[in-house]
Amino acid sequence: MMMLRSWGALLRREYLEHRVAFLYFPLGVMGILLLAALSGLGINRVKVVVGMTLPAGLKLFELGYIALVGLWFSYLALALFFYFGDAFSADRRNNAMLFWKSMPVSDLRILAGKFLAGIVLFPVIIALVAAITGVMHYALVSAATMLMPGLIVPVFPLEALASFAQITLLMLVHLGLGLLWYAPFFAWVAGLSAVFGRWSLPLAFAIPGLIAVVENVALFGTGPRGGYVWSYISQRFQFGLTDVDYTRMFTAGSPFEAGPYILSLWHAFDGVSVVTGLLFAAAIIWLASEYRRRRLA
Amino acid sequence: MTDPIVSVRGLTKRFGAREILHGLDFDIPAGRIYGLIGHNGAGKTTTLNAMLGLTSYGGSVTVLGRDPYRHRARLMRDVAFIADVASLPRFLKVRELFRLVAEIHPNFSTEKAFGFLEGTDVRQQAVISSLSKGMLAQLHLAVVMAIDARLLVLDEPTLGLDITYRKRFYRRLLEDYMTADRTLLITTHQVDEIEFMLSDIMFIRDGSLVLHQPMVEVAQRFAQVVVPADKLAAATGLHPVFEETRFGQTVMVFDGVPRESLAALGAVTTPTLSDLFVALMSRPGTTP
Repeated sequence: MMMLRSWGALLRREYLEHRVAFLYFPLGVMGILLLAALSGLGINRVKVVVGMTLPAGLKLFELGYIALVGLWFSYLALALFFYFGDAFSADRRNNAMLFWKSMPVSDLRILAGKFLAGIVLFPVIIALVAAITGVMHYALVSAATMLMPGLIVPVFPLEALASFAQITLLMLVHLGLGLLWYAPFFAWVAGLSAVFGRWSLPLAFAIPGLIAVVENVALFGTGPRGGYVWSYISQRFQFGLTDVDYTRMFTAGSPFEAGPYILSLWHAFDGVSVVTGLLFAAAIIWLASEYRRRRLA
Repeated sequence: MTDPIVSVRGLTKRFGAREILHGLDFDIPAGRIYGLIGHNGAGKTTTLNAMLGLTSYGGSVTVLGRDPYRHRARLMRDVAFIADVASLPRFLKVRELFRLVAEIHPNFSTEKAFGFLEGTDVRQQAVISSLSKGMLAQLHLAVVMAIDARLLVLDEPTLGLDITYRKRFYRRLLEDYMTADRTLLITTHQVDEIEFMLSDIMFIRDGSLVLHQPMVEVAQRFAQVVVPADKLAAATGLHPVFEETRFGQTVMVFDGVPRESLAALGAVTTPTLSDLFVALMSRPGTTP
């Protein structure tokens, strides 16, 4: 029981330290978006080009929600990159290392807690924010259909709810699989931060880039285009829906269904690569914890 | 006889080619208040770090029956320490800090911690980064005193604090924390301020222990005499361990010389800890 409480406390500690980036700032952005939309509707500043065919209200809601999810995903990726670029050295930078060392928690557990916060807790918060933004978007589209009768076909609540659930389902699956896929990259950045602090951000790219250059020089370009290292890294950075999926998403006339897109993601999900990547991430976290155990300041 | 709380044998520590600790040997029994005193760079903090599992070392260190470097996390259930009062996480509020520590530390009592803060200026809602250095020291002391630990280690806990805070800090420690079951190890440069509370003293010089003794025995062993000019030759014949001139008078410190023999030379007193520190820690050929 104490062990569970202790894990919870470590996650909460990360939340408290980074709540501005992962909760307050997103909520602030959401508030500004809401204000902007409400003021636009309230003072009738919405301009519609005469003759332009607006999609049905449901489609407008679906596309808007998908776009918002995409924006939140982009923010999450960026925020996590910066979070991991500092996470494993933050206690040293904040001069709090000696305090945490006085607690009955191993260095491995502290770093694992930081990694879990980044890979689970913060994405869950952003997913919740994205879902709330979706609800807000529905309310705004509904308001627009009332303000501009005839221009936009009204959205029926049950239809919208079904679409909301489908898009949210796809968002969660995409987020979960994506985080598993990119976990080794985040661990790599975090591991470098244990040694180099915030220099881990450029080094995360510079080190593999240098290795790729050395490999190309050593092999005289006899390997695959760009070299084995570069090819592997390029392949590891490709995960997600295809252009065909997005085209279908934007052009489909029927209400949104998550199933085909989840299947597409599942086909792109290489289980062996993911397991290898997770083992790599675990090894990096262990090495970083041993470094932290040995180096006090 | 019960096992010592801390047992150190042949403790060495190297930083690169330089050896910082040269094979320290000592035991610390339970229920004592130890002072570890030394110059800057003498090896005090490195010794404490070895005992707390914060650094690797040569030789053998056992704290509460465990190797601290291998089992630091487990050991910290029964050991509390303040290595730097400025090390509290600055992004937390006081009550958030207490809640986190309560969830992490099985021997921490939130009620006690809040109790220790009563009468101070530290408020529960205060963000730690907004606290003054004195308040940080009080808060950190409240945290460690609320931990039911068997060994408390304080490394320069009052560094940078004014005299009021320092006195309050030590009084609190003695009145609210120390019991017969608890052991306290403390390092500080303000040796006179902790002299009254110490049961044992260790002087460390250049990585070696030069004195390790109960305070009662120290008072019996060392004597200080203000020697008049006409008795200087006789006093020097008794081999003082230290000699200096203060306001035109020669003051000598003797080690193990019977007080009856010294009485004929002048007024015999027991040297204060700071006098003894100067006497024993001065390197040969240097002027204190």
